[in-house]
Amino acid sequence: MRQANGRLFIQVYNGAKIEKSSIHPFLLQAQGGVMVLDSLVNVAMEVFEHAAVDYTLLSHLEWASPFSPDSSNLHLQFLLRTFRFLVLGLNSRSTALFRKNLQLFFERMEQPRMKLFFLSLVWNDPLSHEALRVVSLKMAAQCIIVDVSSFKWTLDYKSFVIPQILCSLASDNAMIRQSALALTSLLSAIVVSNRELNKSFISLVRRINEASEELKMDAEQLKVIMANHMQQKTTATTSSALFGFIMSPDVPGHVKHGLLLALEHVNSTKILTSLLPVLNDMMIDGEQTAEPLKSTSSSVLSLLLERFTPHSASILSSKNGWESFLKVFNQLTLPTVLNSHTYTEFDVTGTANIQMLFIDHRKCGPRAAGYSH
Amino acid sequence: MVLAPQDILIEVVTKEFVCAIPKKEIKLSIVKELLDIITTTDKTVTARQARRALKRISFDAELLLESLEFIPHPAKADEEKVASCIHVQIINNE
Repeated sequence: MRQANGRLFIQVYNGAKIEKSSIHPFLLQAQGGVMVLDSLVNVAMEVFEHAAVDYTLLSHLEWASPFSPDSSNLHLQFLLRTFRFLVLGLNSRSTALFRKNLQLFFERMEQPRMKLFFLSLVWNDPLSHEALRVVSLKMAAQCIIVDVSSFKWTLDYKSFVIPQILCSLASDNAMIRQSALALTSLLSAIVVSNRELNKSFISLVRRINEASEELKMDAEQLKVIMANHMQQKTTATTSSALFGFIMSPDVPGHVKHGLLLALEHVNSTKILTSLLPVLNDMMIDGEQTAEPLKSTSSSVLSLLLERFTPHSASILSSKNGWESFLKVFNQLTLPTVLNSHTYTEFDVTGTANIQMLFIDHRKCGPRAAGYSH
Repeated sequence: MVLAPQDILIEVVTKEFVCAIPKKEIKLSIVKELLDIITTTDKTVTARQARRALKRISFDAELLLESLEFIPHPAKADEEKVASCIHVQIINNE
């Protein structure tokens, strides 16, 4: 969309232009502060129909953070905002109109993979409203249920689908977990050969499906289920695949955070050693900026640091392990913003579980409330 | 509230954690780092956390033996120096 000589043009795929007169009445209504809802939808869909969106992104990308500050992916941002508008409009009095336009919206995504990738951006977007995330999970289930067997690719170790579902299962919101469990229920029914059993996420998905009732009740159960599942010798490749996502620079921070939460009780010296480069990179990134870390990054950093436990303490015998530990220990000027919880006094008499760490900032006083640079 | 990764890692240092570290040198280094933090930091929270971490650690004689090893001074040169200082002092007092 661009403005030239006072006239508004919309560039389309085939180079044709729509002059402003066709949407002029709607713009007048909007400028006047009066916009009938149906008119707004029609204008939005007019823009959507003629916007030059690159849909091939949805079939080529594995990961994306459309709303991160350094993201230049306007196509995805546009699609996400349009989707959000249409879904939220389903609650309006013009439900039928929004539903019809939602179908038009998805018609452009010809391949199921495109739809699933797009929906995964919504259902695991930390900035999205929870209702939107639930709706996108339900839509994904509707997409899969049409022909479940054709979604075998979702179980591949390289696929984005299972990690994104795990992040949703780690959510505190029971509705989100329940909707994610509907997906695992569908995917667990996919038939695989014995050879593929230990070369895909199928055994993990089936285990999660078996424990769906516990997971609906309690988000913490995911950590227990993952820990129990990963203790089996046959799940080494699954564990390696999941930690591979955490180590990958392409995977967004909120996905890493969700996976680290799910894998919180899956720890060892070997695993922590493999995560050291991620920790070191985060420390380097933090040193290079005076800004506090964003909450997702600080949550990821916290979860990584919490992996220094008695179980993995032998990592300090290695040069890399000790250097990384010392680097953080000596780091005085790297601020991190933890999640905005209220902190209370930490009880040192109990076991030092980092999750129980709370500091009463009121007792500490303003001098210790923050860091000076 | 703004906290540093250092604060999180200090809380990692528990009795069990230090016991699980196989090398004595590493254990001592951690103790040294905690002492450094207490003496150098201007952050009340950090100092308090480091103090509490030190209280959590179990110190045994074997861990501290090296630090407590008595290193004798060179005998004659120092004794003469001390003696001459005392002599000067006595003379001045007179």
